[in-house]
Amino acid sequence: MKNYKPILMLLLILSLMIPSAVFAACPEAATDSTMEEQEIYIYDQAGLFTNEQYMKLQEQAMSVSNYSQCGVYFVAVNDYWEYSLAGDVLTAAEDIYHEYGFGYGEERDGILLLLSMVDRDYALVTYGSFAHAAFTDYGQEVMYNNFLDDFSDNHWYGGVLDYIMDSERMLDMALEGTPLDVQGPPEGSIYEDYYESYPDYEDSGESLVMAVPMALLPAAALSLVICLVLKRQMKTARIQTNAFEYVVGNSVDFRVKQDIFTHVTHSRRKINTSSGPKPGGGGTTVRSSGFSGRSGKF
Amino acid sequence: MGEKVTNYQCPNCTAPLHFDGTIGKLKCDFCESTFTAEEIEAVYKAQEEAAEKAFVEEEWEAEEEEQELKENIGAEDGDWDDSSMTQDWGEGSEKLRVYNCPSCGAELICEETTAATSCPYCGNPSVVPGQFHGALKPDYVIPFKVDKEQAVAMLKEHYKGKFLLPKSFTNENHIQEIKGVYVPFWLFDGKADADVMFHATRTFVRRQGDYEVSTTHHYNVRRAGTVAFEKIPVDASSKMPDEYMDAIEPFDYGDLKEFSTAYLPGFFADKYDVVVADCSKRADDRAAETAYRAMEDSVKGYMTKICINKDILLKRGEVKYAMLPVWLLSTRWKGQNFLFAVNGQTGKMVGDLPVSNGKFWGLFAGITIPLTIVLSLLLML
Repeated sequence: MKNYKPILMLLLILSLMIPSAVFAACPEAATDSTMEEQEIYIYDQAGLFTNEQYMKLQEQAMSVSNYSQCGVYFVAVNDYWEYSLAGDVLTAAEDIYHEYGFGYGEERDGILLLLSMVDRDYALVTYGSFAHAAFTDYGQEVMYNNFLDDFSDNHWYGGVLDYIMDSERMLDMALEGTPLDVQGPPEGSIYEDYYESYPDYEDSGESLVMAVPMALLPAAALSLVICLVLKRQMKTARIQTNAFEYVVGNSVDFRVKQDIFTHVTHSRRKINTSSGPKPGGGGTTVRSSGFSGRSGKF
Repeated sequence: MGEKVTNYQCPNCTAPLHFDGTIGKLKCDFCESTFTAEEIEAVYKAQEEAAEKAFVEEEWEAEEEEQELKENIGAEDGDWDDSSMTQDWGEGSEKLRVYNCPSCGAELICEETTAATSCPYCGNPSVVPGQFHGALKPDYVIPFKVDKEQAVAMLKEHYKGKFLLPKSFTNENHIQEIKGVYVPFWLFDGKADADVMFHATRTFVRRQGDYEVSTTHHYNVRRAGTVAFEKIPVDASSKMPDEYMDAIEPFDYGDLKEFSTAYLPGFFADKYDVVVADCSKRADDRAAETAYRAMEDSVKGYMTKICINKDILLKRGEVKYAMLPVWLLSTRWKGQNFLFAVNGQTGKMVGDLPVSNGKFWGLFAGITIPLTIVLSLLLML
């Protein structure tokens, strides 16, 4: 037994070295291998679909991804806490995106819809500059509205299919050069009929109606403060509450100056960098993590 | 019975003298001779003492007469019965005193606290030295430095730059009365011993991904010590509004002089009518607040500090009596009186001004409307 030990060690080292050497010598092989890894687009760890449904969705997502060179992924888990310690479903989706090596090309463009079944949380995130361009804040809003209806009614297959179909249409529009944004689909686009029901975002009249009351309150409060400060200046006769003027020079004599550390507390809050599409505005809001997207309940 | 009132007259020409704050001397209105307070004191010492004596004697006599009146009330046989005639001159008449002007002999009807005034007939400055006899004698006086013209100019300056002041107030209101008054003040010395406990925190914030993580260190901070005070002034005249007398502070005690009635001619003066015990609370409160603030100010380097326990012990010291100079100006506008006070030493002016409602709401709208437009546009971007 003793004599075989060096041989076993040598075999083990060779088994580790050979694939590395092959990938180093042949980059295409490495790419192919990555492609192989990325061929799964639908991860159903919550058991939402039948085999047939799963195969259809997988095929559809792969087709869209390959065509657009932007990965369209769906992951269903029982509890996102198992995937992220950050404490929120959005970060869990970002962690999964990196963990699973999602994305196409150098920028790893892709979109991921994560469902966490325990508390019915969802998160939709996009990554990479092409994905950010294709899935604008407005476009993402349109997608939520489409798939959330199905998920609310536990129609998992229909919801994911809506998600993939919307992704396909938005990627197509982005490839055509005009991603879906607040102004709606480009005139004469084959997708005009799909998105005609969301004209509110470009209705600046309503934005004005919303903006004026929102601005009026802080403006009035600030004005009132200024006016009251000026009014206060009109009254100069006031009772004195202190006697600093009459403290004998250097007479403040401390006999105890004691600072004792007692304990430490921690708190944290989410930085609100992603607030969804602004009424009347367009584009995509990208967070510091490099992802755009939003989360909620279904 | 001797005169209870003294007129300070020019030793050269006998014309009235008044104290001129701008030169710090007594000045003759007629020959323009000037004299120091000490010089005039020396000249009038005997006269003042006589006036003081007459004042005291009259007080005794008045007491005796009152007693006699009580005993012999009603008509005696053969006398006219005047018992139905009222001895009462109306509300507050018991607080009036009658003196004779030594210059023209006219009757000066003054309040019982009046110590310096001027004769309404001949205009001579008159001082009642008896108001300051014995224990009533003030320890200090700060002579006037600001004269009447300066005080009036300061009032006009006070109106400037007040956007909310009605325009008609500046144009239409006229000074009704201006008088320089030596206001009686109690000056409190003392020490405050404070022992204060604070809960203080320091917070460090760092960014962790999309989260802002705050770490807060908590401390119990104790400060204990003493603060000594000297001459906290509290006005001892019930006629003077406390908020005005507080607001014209501080006085520069470098100019404190030993009291002499020679500083009074040309001004009004009242003796105190609020005793030390009734004024001390205001001094105590100010000393306690200051001691607390001194402890609090020494707690540095924390982001928050909240007082959780405060023990302040006051060690009360000496109380002195001083006459401090104040110009009082009153104006009338739309049937309302407006009072202004000027520190007669430093020139600090205080007084409440009316607010134009139109200007107030006009300004409010003038700021609110453009600000709303700008904010709305920013929100729409």
